[in-house]
Amino acid sequence: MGAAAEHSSRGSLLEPLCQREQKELLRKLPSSLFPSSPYKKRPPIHLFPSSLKVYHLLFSLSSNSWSTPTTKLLYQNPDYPAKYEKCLKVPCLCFFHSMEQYPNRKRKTPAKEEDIFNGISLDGLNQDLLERVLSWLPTSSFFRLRSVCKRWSSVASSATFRIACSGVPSRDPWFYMVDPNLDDQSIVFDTTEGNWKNLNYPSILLQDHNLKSIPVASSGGLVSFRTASGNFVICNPVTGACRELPMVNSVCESQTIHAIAMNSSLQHSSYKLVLVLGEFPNLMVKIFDSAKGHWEDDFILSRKTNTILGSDQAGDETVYFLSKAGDVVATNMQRSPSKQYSSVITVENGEEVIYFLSHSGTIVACNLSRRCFTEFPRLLPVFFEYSIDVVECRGEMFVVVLWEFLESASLRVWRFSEATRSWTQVAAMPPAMSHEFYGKKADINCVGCGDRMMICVNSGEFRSYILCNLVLNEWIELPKCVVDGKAKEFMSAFSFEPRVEAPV
Amino acid sequence: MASTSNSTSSKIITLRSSDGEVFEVEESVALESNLIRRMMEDDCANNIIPLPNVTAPIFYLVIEHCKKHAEMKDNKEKKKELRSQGEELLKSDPHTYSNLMEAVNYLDIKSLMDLTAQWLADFLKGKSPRLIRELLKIKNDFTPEEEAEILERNRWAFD
Repeated sequence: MGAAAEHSSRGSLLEPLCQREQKELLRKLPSSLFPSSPYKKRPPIHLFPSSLKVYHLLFSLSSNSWSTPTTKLLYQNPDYPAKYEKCLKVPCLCFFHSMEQYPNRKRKTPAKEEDIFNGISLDGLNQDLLERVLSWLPTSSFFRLRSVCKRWSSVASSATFRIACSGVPSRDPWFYMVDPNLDDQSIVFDTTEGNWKNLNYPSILLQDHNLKSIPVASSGGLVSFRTASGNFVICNPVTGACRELPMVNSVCESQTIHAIAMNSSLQHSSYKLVLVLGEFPNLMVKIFDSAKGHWEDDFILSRKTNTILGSDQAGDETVYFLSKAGDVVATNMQRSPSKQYSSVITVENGEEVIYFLSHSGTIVACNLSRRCFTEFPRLLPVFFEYSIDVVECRGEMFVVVLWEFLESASLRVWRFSEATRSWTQVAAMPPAMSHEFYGKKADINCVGCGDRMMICVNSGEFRSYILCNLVLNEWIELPKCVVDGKAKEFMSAFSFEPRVEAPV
Repeated sequence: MASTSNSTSSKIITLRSSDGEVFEVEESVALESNLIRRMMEDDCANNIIPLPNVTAPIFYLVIEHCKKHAEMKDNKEKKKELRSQGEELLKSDPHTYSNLMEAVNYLDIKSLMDLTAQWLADFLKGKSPRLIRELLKIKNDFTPEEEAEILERNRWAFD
């Protein structure tokens, strides 16, 4: 032990030993000192690489055993002795094998990443592993890397690859942008890469009679369109795959549609398209279930009567200070065509609830499981001019409101608490940012996904697109989307997860 | 042998790597591997479980990662640590990294399969196809026409 401890003095530890020195040292030490080296057969060169071309292995004299090669040691950089000493608190031997001993390894300074990968071939990975690796790529990267080689390109059509993709729990949202003239509808905002992408226009929508299709809902990896003839087309914007749903029966066609919402299940790779129609307050629901492949029988929603009174009362209470505002502008709710059916769907305690904006600007909640609906108390008094929209974030419904007050504009996000039947503010745009909208008579269209939401602010002269992270309370104005030298204008957006595996 | 006095009463599983090394691993760690779990259900529990496709050094790495992964549950620091170590290994020794991936796949350790794939994907994601071909020594087997076609089809992704 004594002799060994001598050799483990700090000075020699930090100096790489040459091969001859190592052998000598090993000879000096009693063989019983080495109970069972895990590396009897081979030097540990293949196990302990560090970027500095030296490899080390520790034998601890205090515990008389080979240390488990902790990754901590693995990545210590011998160029920084101070750091290295920390992990050598116990007396131990340290062997350094220098690179030169093993001519099959290139002796290069792996400073650049380009050099690092010498010696690996991903072609060596079996198909299963390759598919799993590629499934974790952000969608834009995946499409770029399809041009690496034929094998990578063909992965997209593999069924097992799609299964691997569906195992990725969530993807950063993309926002499908709606052009006010409904032409050139193929621009998305990719939140992973933070830029605009011009996708190929889904082919079925290019057919003449579908040309003026309006996107009306989205969920999971899909966006739903309504054609000029009133039919629905479901589309995966990433793959361009489209499917025209069977006709809605004629009874429904004559009815006013209040809400169109979509709900999808990643596990079952199925989706539902839900319509709420009728003359308010006589509402009925029509559901298309992709798993069944047809429209289900419609059902009537009954009004939960006990809440009518409550809503009116609460409505009066939530006037706040705003009722003191001097100039009263009586207008109806502003609404852009794309948000005609503005609605969201959430699942609460296993019950699906659709929220939509009624024509008078209140929020209506339809519980599909209980087949009933309620009206929420007004957020702002009816005579107040404002723009409002509903969004869904993390499975919860929020309301976004833009209004002008005391010579400034304010944009706030509210949540409804069932327990107290009242609205509470959860976020507000920084006043300096929202002040820009003052006097613009702007309209907002919002869409949520995960923790984020996109807010499209539009007025005749003014357009702005803001990405808000509710958790971080981050508000970022997106750069302009320039196509052919001109800044594109968008009316609204729909969010979806770019998923190549989402079936239409 | 290493002292066992401080270890808890958890059961120890004995495993043998392809190069003949014998490992003693706590049951909780060993059961992360669905392969080992299945073998134990087939009543190999009292014997040494052979792992013919995994070498000792790689198995060390796997066990290290398993332990770390078990610790990292609801611990963001550990998560970061494990991730940066994974990336470090990937950059410094990709060959070992691909061996690790294969071993994890063979041992059927779901959590690590996802992590190791994710790290590699993160490494690849910002790189151009040309650079990736260079890095991974992949031959471009497209004809110029095919390559032009596939680039045209996916042009949007290069914006």
